[in-house]
Amino acid sequence: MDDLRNKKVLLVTTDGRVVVGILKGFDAQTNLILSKASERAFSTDSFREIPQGLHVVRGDTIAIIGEIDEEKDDAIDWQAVRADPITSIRI
Amino acid sequence: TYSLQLFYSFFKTLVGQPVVVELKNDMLIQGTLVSVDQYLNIKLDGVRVEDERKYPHVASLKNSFIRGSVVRYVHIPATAVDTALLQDAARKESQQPK
Repeated sequence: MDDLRNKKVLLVTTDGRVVVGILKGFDAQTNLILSKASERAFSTDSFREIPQGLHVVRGDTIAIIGEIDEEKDDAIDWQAVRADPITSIRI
Repeated sequence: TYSLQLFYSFFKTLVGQPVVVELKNDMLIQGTLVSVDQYLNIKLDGVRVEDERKYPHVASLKNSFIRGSVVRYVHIPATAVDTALLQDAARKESQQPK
């Protein structure tokens, strides 16, 4: 994950949440520190972006983490997006 | 040839191949395998989620690091693997005295 340091990343958690932020740190267990974090809460009738500030995320709650294509991200009108929330990880 | 840490070694032979990772939350992520580690965490480049309409949440992802613990399946091209060799190595490894 070295190449993601200080990049804007998007995280999908095991409980189906989507969080964006800047990856400031991580360890071998994929525990993370995100700055300027915000949660993107999707539903079929609304979209909300919830600012979270500086966030520490425990590694075992992470499903996916990836670099955001900022051009692509900026081109999307997130306020207009409607979707079911991502389902939780089930063993 | 495959050895201890069988599947880690196996995935290393697939670097550069297109794969589809199926997660335990039913998401299917396509991409090119960039790397794998001892925990079978998977790094993919050029990712696309299979059902883009259902998953606009990840539309702006360029690449992804997928935690090994959330992977259900890794779908790989049939031509990418020597199945007989893999079966043989798996059988041998399972017969190792522990």
